[in-house]
Amino acid sequence: MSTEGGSDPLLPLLQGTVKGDHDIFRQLYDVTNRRLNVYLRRMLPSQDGIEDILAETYTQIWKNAASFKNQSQVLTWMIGISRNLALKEISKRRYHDDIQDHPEIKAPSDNHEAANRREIISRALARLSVRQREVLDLAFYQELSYQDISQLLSIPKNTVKSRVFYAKAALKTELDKMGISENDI
Amino acid sequence: MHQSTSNSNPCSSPPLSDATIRRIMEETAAEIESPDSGLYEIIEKRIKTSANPKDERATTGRFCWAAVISALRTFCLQPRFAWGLAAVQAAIIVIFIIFPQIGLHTTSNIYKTLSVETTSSSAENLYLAIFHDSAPMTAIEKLLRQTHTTITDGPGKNGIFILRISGANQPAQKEAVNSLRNSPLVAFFEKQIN
Repeated sequence: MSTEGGSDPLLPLLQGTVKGDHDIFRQLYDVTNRRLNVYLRRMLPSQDGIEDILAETYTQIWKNAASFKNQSQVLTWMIGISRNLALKEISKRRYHDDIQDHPEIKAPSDNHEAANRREIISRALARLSVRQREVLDLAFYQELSYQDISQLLSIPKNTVKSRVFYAKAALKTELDKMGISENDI
Repeated sequence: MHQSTSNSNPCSSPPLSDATIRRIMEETAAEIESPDSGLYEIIEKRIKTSANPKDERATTGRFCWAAVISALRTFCLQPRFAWGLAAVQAAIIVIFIIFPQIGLHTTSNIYKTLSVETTSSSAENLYLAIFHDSAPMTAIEKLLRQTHTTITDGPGKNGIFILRISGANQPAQKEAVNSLRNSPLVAFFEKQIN
């Protein structure tokens, strides 16, 4: 996890975006699109329309770059925009979503003889709740500090810590059920 | 939390190390396909139609309803705010259930005629009267004329009228009181006590 208060490598790119520099904005996109894409795919139960949300996220980043107040890392701010759009999408789909779209329901039985190790790990992760997957992604993939996650999710820092703890425990439980120990990973 | 995870005791076995979790998150991320190569072109088209970020700031510097509504919507989407709002609504509903009279009535249960004199110099001539439901209006008017009586207020909530007897002297007023009290049209007749 990143330490708090360090220099932000994305800040010059965002400052260039504020000036309306399309080349610098492209660089910002190149550096960050993969991270935002992974975040959205872990957040949303259905994978449909994720690229639309991603496109809208970058449009919002372009439009609102000047409103960045430097109170968090640039990536945290970008994920925040992405998250708001994802939450809107989730609430839109809530009433007419397809049960087959939920990865935790869709996940097949624990017949891991034919499946490889990576598939089993993906399946274990898919069985966690969205909230647990999100917090693990933010802490261990996006490398955000607890302070940044706390700001992003609008919850106290200690709640972030306990949520990470329970998410880790839940993932271990799922892996144990599938016969995967920490040494196998 | 998912059913299968909620029943587990997180303290029963040592948790996965941070390094292991990081490896899991990176490995599973590697399996996720990158966005389509044409996605940036879509974004570029969109941003070309919108203003330059600096111009955007210049326009948002002025009062802009769209920005206010957008900010308000974002704020309302925060789960904690939504729960807070629900709690306030619930509290208001509970208060109205417990105290149903709040806001529905003022201090008095009897409604008043707007033109009624609240401070009368001849308060001693005021009487409360209830007429029988079957009493015809013409008969009541005739009785009031005979006794030199005027209606100053009413009918109130219970059908009470406030009458003023304006007789020339005390014996005339006493006679009017007796006439009204003994009239078959009047069900109730008493002096008003302030």
